[in-house]
Amino acid sequence: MLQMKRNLAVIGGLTVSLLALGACSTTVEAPEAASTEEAASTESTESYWDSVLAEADGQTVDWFMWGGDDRLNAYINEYVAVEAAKYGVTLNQVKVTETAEVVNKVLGEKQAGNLDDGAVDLVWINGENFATGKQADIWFCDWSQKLPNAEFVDWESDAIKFDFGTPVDECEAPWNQAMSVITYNSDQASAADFASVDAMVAWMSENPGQFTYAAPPDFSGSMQVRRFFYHAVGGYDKLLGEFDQATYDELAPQAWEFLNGIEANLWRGGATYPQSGAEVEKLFASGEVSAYIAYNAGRAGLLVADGVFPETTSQTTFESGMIGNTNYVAIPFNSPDTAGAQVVANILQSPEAQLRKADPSVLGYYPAIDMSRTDLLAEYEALPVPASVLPFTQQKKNANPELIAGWLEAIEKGWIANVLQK
Amino acid sequence: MSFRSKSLAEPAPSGAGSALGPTIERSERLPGEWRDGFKILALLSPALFLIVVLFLGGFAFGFLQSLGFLALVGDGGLSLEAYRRMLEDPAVRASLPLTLRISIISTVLSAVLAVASALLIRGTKRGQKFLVWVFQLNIPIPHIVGAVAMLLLLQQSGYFSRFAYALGLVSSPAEFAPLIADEFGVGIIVHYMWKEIPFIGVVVLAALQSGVSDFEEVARTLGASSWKRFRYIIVPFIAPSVFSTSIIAFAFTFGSYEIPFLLGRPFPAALPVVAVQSYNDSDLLSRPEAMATSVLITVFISLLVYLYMRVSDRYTGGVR
Repeated sequence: MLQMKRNLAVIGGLTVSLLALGACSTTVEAPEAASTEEAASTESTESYWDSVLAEADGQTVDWFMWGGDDRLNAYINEYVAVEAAKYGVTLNQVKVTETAEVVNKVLGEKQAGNLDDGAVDLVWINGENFATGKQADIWFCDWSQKLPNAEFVDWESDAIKFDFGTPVDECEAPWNQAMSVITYNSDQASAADFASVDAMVAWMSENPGQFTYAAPPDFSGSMQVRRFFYHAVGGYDKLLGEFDQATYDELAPQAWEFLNGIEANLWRGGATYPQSGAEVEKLFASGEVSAYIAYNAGRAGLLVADGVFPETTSQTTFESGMIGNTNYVAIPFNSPDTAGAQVVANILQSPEAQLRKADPSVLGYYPAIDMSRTDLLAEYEALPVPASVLPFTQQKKNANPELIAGWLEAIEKGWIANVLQK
Repeated sequence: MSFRSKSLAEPAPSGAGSALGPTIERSERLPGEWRDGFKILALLSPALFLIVVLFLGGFAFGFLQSLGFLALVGDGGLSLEAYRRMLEDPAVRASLPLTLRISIISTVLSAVLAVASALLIRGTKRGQKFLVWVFQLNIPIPHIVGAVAMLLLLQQSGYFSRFAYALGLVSSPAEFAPLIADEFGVGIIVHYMWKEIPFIGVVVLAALQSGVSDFEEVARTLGASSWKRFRYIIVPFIAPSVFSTSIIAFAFTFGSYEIPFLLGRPFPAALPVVAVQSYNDSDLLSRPEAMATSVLITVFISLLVYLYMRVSDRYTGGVR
């Protein structure tokens, strides 16, 4: 009898606390979210920011981000989190392997009717994932140009205003710029071998098995397929703007022919592809391949310093340029801590934070702000560049744009059906 | 149990005089029954909660989503469209033979080697405890750690390849046979065997401890050959264990994601990998197809569990 009572009490207690939890999340949080939205639409930037700061004090920001880079994690937890604490904001980094998972999480919350107490407060994002979220209307908007540090951002630039062709519409704040480069082992190849795509194709046929790219939808593999796609169809001009099925149908076969044509000279004879950019890096580190293309040139310098990559690591670009993009942080519509998340986004855009992460010995991520608008331009230009890393100005030469998400999806799916599954 | 139901089934006495006795008895009895019912329910509720809400609830929700229910985009009508698309998807079509091949080969080889190892270990006179300890050493090691170890050992620039290079057998990584992300799935099968052999083997060893040697002794004194002792004593003793653990191993290998992801190819990929690929597809229209693939996996595994229960019923029925 006593035992039974205890059991019932436990169950009863659980039920009550569950109900209480449910009640809290629906009634207490709602007014806060409403006040932020109101503030955003009516008040000027300064008082807007004052109210954001006031609201942010005491909030905990759960920042979901790709966590595969130890140095980036150190930068977040040892620098950004410390800065955020000065505003009373606790920054909690949540590491994920794929940003798509985070978008799925928020979508799942929306489906389940969780409209104001989501788990995600901030997410590192760009491209398709941002576009997917925008399609489903899951972003908190009208904030990113109101950040005090937005004055350092060139919001007139198409590279900032459009995220892979999708209008940003103040639903995310730029954090880094990224350029892709060709990283190669100078024992096995020279810069002239990669002067153009044709030169590279010739190099591959003389050195079969020495190059590969990750299978899309992997982020870096997808970018490489697009770069070859641009080459095969005679330039990216026809691919800009909204996705057009007729243009795609006309041009895509040339790209698949090109990519199937080089397949036999890829790693493993093209019988399979690595599943991620990280896997490609490992192949380069272990000497299975001697060239690869990836975003974030600075990373190769760090890996050389760590002894993972050989000292003979070097970088170059096609004369016709490489693909570049901007990446951002976004706030889900159901975040209970939108104010704290904006404070963190503002810290990320500060000249000090951008300079620090541009330092190759810290991270080597390129600034999303225009450093010439800040007092730190001289320091930025004085940053050392490792011998193995191509200077950012050279990386940016003839930069190729990213495409709108509709094109990305079509090309990724087309690659899977016409190259991978063939 | 039988006594209680009988007393409930008793027709209510109609006479006013005789009504007293049974009525008192029932009023004393009923709270007791309620109490028992509550107690059982209360004790079971955590497990029931997990099964009903998290598994059945999750499955039902996934099934509904596979029909297009609560779709984030699209017209919201329910249809079997996702199943049609799934069956036409080359990724799924190429996946089925691969997934079955991996599960069948790794399970059968594991079972055979596990029984052989268990019998060998049982036959040892000295150091048996140590052998058993070594044999089950890797059971607590997480699958993912094992998979990384397989990568380090078996890939073309892995330790085996380097060893072959040191011996002058190969001159470059590309010459070493591809065992990871290979066409057949060798790396995945080897990994599963590494894990399943001790799993099945330990259960078989336990079955062999339960008095089988007495029967063998009797058979030996009656002149049975070692083959006959194996066939008519050991096999019946261990068959239920081998069968049940094999079905568990098969269901696990069929539904597991991380191993074929780490050690396999992006195409053709195992079914769970395909399901995650379409779940992470940035095109939300692929979501119902991902759910349909998961439903397919769940239904297949459920059939295996049903088979397992049928067969284990038969075995235990035979013992009884």
